[in-house]
Amino acid sequence: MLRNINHTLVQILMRTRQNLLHMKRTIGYFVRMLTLLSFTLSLSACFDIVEDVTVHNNGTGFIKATMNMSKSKTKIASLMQLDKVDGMKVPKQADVRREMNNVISILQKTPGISNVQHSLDFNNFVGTLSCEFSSVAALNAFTSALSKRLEVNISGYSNYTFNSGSGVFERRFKPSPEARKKLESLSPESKKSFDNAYYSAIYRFDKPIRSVSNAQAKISSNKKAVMLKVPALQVVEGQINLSNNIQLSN
Amino acid sequence: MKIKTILTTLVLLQTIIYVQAQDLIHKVPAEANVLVTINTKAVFKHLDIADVDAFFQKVGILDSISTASSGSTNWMQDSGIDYDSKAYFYMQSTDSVQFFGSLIPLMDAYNFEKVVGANRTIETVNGLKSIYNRDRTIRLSWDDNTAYVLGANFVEYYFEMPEIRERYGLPEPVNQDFTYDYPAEYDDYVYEVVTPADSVYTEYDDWVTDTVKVADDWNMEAELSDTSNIEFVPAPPIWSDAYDEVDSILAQDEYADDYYLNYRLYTASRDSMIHILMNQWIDIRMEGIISGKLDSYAKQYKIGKMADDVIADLRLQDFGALYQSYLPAHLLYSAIGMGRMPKMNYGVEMVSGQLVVQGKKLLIRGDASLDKEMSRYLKAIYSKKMNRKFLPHLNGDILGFMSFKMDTESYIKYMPQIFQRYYGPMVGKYDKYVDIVALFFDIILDEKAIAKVFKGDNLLVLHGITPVEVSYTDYVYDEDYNYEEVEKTKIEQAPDFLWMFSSDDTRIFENLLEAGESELKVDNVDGVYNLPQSYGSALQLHLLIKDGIVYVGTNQAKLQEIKMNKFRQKGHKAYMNIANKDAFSVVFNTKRAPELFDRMGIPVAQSMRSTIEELGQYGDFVLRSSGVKRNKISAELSVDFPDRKGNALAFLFGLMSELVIK
Repeated sequence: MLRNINHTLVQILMRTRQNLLHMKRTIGYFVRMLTLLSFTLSLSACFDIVEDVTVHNNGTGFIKATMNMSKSKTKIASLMQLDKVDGMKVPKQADVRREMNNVISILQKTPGISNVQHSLDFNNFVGTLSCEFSSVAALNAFTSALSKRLEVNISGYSNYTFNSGSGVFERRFKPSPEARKKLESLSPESKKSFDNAYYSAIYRFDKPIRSVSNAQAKISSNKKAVMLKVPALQVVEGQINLSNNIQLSN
Repeated sequence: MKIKTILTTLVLLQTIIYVQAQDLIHKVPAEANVLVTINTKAVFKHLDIADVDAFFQKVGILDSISTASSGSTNWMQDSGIDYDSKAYFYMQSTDSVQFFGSLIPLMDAYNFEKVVGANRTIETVNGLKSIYNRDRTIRLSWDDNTAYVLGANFVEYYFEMPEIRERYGLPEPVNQDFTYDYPAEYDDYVYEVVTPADSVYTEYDDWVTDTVKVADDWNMEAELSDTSNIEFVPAPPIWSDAYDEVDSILAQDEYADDYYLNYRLYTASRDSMIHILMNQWIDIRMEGIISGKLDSYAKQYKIGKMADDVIADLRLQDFGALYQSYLPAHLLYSAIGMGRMPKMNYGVEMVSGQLVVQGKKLLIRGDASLDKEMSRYLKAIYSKKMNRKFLPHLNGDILGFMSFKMDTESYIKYMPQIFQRYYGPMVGKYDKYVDIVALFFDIILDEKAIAKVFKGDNLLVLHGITPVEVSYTDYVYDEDYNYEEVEKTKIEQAPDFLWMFSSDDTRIFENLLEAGESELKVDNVDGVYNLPQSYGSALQLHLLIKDGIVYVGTNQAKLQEIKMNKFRQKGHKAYMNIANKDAFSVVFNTKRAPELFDRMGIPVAQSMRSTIEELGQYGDFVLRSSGVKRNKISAELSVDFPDRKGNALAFLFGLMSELVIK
């Protein structure tokens, strides 16, 4: 019975879809114009990702990740009025909140992670997530757990090590081939829309920094912080590598 | 003088009779529920036949039609088709079969045969040269003046009904127990397997040898003596071998777990038997069409003269029945455990459409003839007049507008009846629930009170785009990379529009605005209210209530002008006419599109650049409906194309050729 109803609904939907297609053709020209206009919604996506990590001498620390899409807030607000864009489902506020709660739950259950906090601002489209970690290994465990939850291989492409004895903090990074493949499938015009998207990584330490291996990383005046701010597009394309070997003073 | 007049009249009469005899509309069967007329003379008045030939040659369409066309550059001209007369395409749906046919006028049957008959077997059927497709469900025949095409598709559900299977001696469907026990998420997929719509054609080659052998032995000619009534049902043919063969295959153990193969074998066997039926029905029907024994469509329905600028005409008779034939009604009814679906009656008797070329303007006109009841409802609903105070807002520089006028009181009054009429028959015995829903709305809505709040005339004017200042969050870093959030601003382009509607009772809006003011969410600036911005939105909306009109727009200064009686503008006559006369309209000033793309900084792909730039030479895009006149509701869509090809059809054809060749 249920299967019959299911089949019936499928048929009705297919018929309805056909009828809609006919209607769509009838006003095809107008739709084309509107599509061209609405296409702008998916363009010029300006956003900032900021990863701010503090690592103390004993290996404990604090991480705060910020996703700031406020520069594109009008476009995102318009996008969120739609169900789908180019066949991709557009998440609603509730979806984002639900996913954030899942992440929080994973973080709270991860050994070595504490004081988990987050914020979601849907007026400006800014989201933050922060926590304290008891060791860099806990940070990697969190990344790994998150990879499983999001079914994205984050941990395979990025991890951290800290040797308090030698005073070396290292971030290893390799570009994700999946992300690169998706990017390559975009038209040059669509790729251009990511021109104003930046990724910033800030690492702070108790001791002064002696040297950094990444030429694009800049050391602060007090020598205790290093920042790497790079175009997100170039990171995905593999033109810029986020790997950095930071040697602290003894 | 008198004799001369009589002679002239006789000659003219003879010419008229000859012309009428030539028009193939008289051979279109009266039962056709879809009829498409192609006015080939009008087509080639607007298009150069050599260009069409060249285009078809380039895209390889002719190669698939005829092997004789290979290398020919004048296929269209040399095909023997008479392009001065009209060609007809029609379709007739019954519960068992769907016939589709065409009547193509010929001027040279010899050339036609040369083109279509090359490398094909030509048979003589009832004295006419004929070609069949492989499963003999499509037949093409021709005489000196006409090519007749007739094909048939069977309705699978009809031939799966037990009494019909029994009547025609068709095999039993494959037992559903063969179905693999799929996880629930694959339900849709299983369904596709159970009733594959095109299995006959897509899979035929693979197993045709087995099944054709089965069907060839099935001789039904003796039973099919009636020649006109396709509903006539012959006695079931005796054909035990076919059963044995199908049963033996189904009984084999190795297939027991392979539903696909069993199902394919079942459909192959069944389809080949039905195809024989189809073939017999096609031959009987074709004979009726050629001999003129079937009632003519032209006698049954009034066919008006087709003007020279009409390229094609479409007529759908008995729209409800036609729509119903496309609904998977049997599935719906079997799923909710009901018998046959009652006849649907939407109150739409006939739907017609025309493609018209008027110089550089292309029009698509559509009409629907309504029955008395539906005419009464819709006439009352679309009887509203537009508030004339709206019209000065339609100046010639606007980007576009949408007007919609509907009598709210009539809408609320008649909507329950229309709702009941649309959905009542669909749900069979549950129609009482539809009645209850309709009654519920009838009771709870006070149409007079609502009609005072929203009188029903609406005008939305899109002026274009306007720069607006938008704030965003950014970060400022100190020399030690400690950062703080700062608010910055940037300029974005947002739509600039004004929406207005009439209201005789604005209290509800005023009360809402007062409440908003008290909650500090709405500002009152000299009588113009600034509404709260929705999250993330760059749009600041303003509202003004004045002289029984509610204005909602993005331009505060304009609303202030209206408030102070300082708004002075003259409407564009053509736009005012549309908004004033039509019940519904959408107008887009296409020539402003390239400027819009530039101002919004929309990147345009190189391949689309010339197309976008050419939009600047287009005229208006207009979609309009004049509402109900007499018993007809009409709509029209028109586009003014650039003049570079002389007319709209040639321009569109050129554009299509350019795109295909690119």
